[in-house]
Amino acid sequence: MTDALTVSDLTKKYDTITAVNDVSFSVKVGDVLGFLGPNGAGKSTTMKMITGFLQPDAGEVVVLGKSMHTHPLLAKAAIGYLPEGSPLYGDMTVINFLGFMAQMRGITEIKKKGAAINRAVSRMQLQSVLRQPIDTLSKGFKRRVGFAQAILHNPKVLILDEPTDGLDPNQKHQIRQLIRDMAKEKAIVISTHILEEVEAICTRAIILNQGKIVLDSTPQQMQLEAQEQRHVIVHVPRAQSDKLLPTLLKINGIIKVEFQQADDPTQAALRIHGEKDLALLDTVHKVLSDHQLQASQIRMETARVEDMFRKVTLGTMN
Amino acid sequence: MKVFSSATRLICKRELFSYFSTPMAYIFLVLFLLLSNALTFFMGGFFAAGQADLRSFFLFHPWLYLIFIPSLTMRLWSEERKNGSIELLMTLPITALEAALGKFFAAWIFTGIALLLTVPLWITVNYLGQPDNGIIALNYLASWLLAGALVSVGCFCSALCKNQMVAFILGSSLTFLFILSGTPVILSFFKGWLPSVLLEGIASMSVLTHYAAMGKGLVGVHNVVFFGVMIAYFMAATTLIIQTKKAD
Repeated sequence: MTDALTVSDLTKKYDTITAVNDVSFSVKVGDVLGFLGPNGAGKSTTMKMITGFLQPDAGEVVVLGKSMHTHPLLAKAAIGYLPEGSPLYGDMTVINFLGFMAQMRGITEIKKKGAAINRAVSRMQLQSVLRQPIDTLSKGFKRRVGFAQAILHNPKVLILDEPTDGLDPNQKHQIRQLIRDMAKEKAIVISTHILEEVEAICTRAIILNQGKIVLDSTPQQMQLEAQEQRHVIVHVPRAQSDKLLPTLLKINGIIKVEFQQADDPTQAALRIHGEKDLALLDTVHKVLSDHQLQASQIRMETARVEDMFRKVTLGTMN
Repeated sequence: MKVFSSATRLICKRELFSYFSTPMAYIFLVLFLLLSNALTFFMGGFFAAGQADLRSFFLFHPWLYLIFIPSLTMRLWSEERKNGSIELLMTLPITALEAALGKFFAAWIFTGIALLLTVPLWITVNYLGQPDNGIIALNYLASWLLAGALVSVGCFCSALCKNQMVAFILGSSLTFLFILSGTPVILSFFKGWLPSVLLEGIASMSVLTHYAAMGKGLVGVHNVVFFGVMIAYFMAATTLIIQTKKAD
């Protein structure tokens, strides 16, 4: 299948800061691409360029074969967009607002307009608030209205900027379910800083840092890679830890050993990092029994995707 | 290019609806009617003049517009930028010009409604005597054109500022300059050190000159063209600003 959205070498500079630096990727129908990154990494700026709100300084956005630069109106027509924080026209009622947006999208025929609004309204479960001014709605409803306007014209490409930000856990779950439902027939890009969200709904994840793509992977792959970064934590009596340390460091395959504060003041906690192919837990057990040491606690920890995130965005793992 | 495309029409409709969805529009209309009538009768010496005309009514329009039009236009773009809905609007498959014109027409039509509501005064002078109704009609047209030109200035200021209050003050100041530039106060300031060509240029930039000329029944094409060019110029500037500054 051809790509629904192609972004190539996208760059945006503000004075001295390069907000987005040479970002390229493409999304097919059926893909849910998760855009991750710390605040200020360039997620929103990238999305604003994809939707044609911002002009890139370099690079190109192509939506269903139409370039945002040369055919902005055609490209924009193929995109549904939920901007960050879901801004709306608060003085309008939900039904008037959706009617306005449908007409602005060129759905002017009364029957078609009615059908489009009905479809979006039932999908977002907005029936109960149709006649209410948007200003009087709760945050969750406002977000759903924002969603409804984004899918009114049944776009092939959906760009959602932090769709679940600020919602309660139930609402988050609901929005994620909606995204999953729509994923089959659309190419979706969502930005978020919630990692579990990426694991829950995305088929692909891109981590941005300082405007650059630092990781382009799948959530599963990220999880696997994170698990390879593992370590063992051993709690031994403080007096014995000095004996243990040099022995551990002599063993091939052990990268480093760190001291940590244990809850019990008489105990020392050692965090032992080993190479990938080393049977770390077995090795530590062996050392302990060779020295006839009694560990009060011994456990293995694997890194989580969160640690991966910190590693690629900050350069540290722990 | 169609001046009134369907996108422009829809945005215009939405903005007009938006005016009337809050009490602001009604307060605006009532205040405009009260003030325009009060000025006519108390300051304009409507009765003292002993003439059945509306000269004292139209005399004050530029000064009323000085306050009213910027307050009408200040929110058009500032609000969109402040609450982020500009992102919604400008990612729709429409051009910036269509959006700018839609908002401009909404405010201009609103001033037209305000003017229409003053028609009872016209009926009154017809009851009191035999006014020159042609002149009065022309005065209404001149006033509405003046309003259009000032609305375009207001749109421009609103597009420049994210803060509505700043847009209002800027709009008022700019309007003030456009009204004043033909008066001796300004001209004597430039006299002596500016070449007379430029001096005449400044004088002819005054909306007051063109408004007054039309009101006397001297409808030169150039007066109408002046307002048309002013609207076109400020709408082009507004469009340019929206395109370049919308995300700031």
